[in-house]
Amino acid sequence: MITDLTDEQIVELAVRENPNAFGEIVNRWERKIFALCYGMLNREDEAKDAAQETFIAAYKNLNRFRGEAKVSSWLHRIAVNQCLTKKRREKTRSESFFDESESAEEKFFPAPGDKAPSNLAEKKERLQAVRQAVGSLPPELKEIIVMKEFEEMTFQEISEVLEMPLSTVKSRLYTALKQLRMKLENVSLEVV
Amino acid sequence: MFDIGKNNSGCGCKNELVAYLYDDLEASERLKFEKHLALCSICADEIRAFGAVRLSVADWKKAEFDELPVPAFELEYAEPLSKNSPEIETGSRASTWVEKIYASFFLKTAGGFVALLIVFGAGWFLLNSPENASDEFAGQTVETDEKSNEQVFADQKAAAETSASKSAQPQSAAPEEIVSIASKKTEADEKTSKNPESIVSMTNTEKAQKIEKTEKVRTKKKPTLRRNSPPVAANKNAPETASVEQEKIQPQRTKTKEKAPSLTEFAVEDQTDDEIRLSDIFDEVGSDR
Repeated sequence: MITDLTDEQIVELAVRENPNAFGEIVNRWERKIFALCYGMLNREDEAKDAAQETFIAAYKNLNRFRGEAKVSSWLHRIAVNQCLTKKRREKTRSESFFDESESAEEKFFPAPGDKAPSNLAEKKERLQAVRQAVGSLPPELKEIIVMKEFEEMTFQEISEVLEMPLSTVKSRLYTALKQLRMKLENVSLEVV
Repeated sequence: MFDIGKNNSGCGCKNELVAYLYDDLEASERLKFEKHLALCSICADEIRAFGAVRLSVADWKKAEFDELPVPAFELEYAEPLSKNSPEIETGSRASTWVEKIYASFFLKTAGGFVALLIVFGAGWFLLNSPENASDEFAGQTVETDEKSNEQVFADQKAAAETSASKSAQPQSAAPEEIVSIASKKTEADEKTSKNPESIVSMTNTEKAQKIEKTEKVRTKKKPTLRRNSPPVAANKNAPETASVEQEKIQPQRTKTKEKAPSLTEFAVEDQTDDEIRLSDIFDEVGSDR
């Protein structure tokens, strides 16, 4: 059964005889890659595009996969690059602050027992603040916080994907948390 | 590891703090850090604040992302990327026609280059084989010897002039070198005149040995010549002049006591002195045999 094979075996199978086997790789990693892209781009449609392009690029370059790294690391690396490329293209377009807030309203799913207007408004503001705080982080800090918080990857996995030492991963995560703390504490003060 | 007092970035244990925050420490390390937390207010404050940040980010993810449906990624699966390709096992293959052409071209040029190298190397080796090298070297030594003899005579003249002018000063090693060179070259000259073929077969070591012998002979004989010959070089006896010069060249201990001959004493007889010296050397060499 194809589901019993490892990622590397499936890639080899897809290269040799059955390209459709790559679909199993997509099934296994689509959620995580989508989460990574969403965390990096903060927009559903852009995250969808980036994830799609990630899998297309991976499929086209399957023959270049040497097996030196894990398939998951390889996919994550492609996804991060796709998100960074998209972000660079977006910088040339002038996107206003209100676009983000409107999309946030569409995507806000209030939890049960939390439907009081004051609570909802407060929650919206808080989420918006968090989204903006994460979005304003430098790319090298954002990707680590997204991988850790959105994808729940281990430090070792992040180290392999980003090809950096464990100590550097932890150090950058510390810096990212510190910057987020400062931004969110300022927002709390403003709200109060 | 846990340095209390560094206020710039907590207390300097940020890696441990992050690992503790995400439950990535071993039991012993966690206990150690918890003890530190009890004592370090900076770390304790950061742990609390970072925990709140994590909760905010988790809320955001839960609210805006977890409920989203995973999009259907559609890929167009084409023909197998490389069917029946043995290169997959080795891990290297030229999948496109461009890469194949490049690979074949590269192999051809590399092969041609290697062949050229082999041909040149063989040719060089044949040209520079030991037999050829020795003959060439012998011919060169004969030529160089002939040239160097003229040079030596010129140097000897110059040395004689300078030695006469600098009679009061300690002699440098140059005249000695010139004399030794003269002995070497004159011997070679003698060999070329008497037995040209022998030079061809003589090696450098043999030559050096011969030269050393002649030098020894000269150094031995010089004292006898010196004693017998008068100190002044007014007559045309080479041994006398040679001995006088030798006195000058010898260690300068006795130099100060002896009076060096003046320039005029040697001026007229330079050429004859050289000739006499050569004949003297030939005699010595002949007597050795």
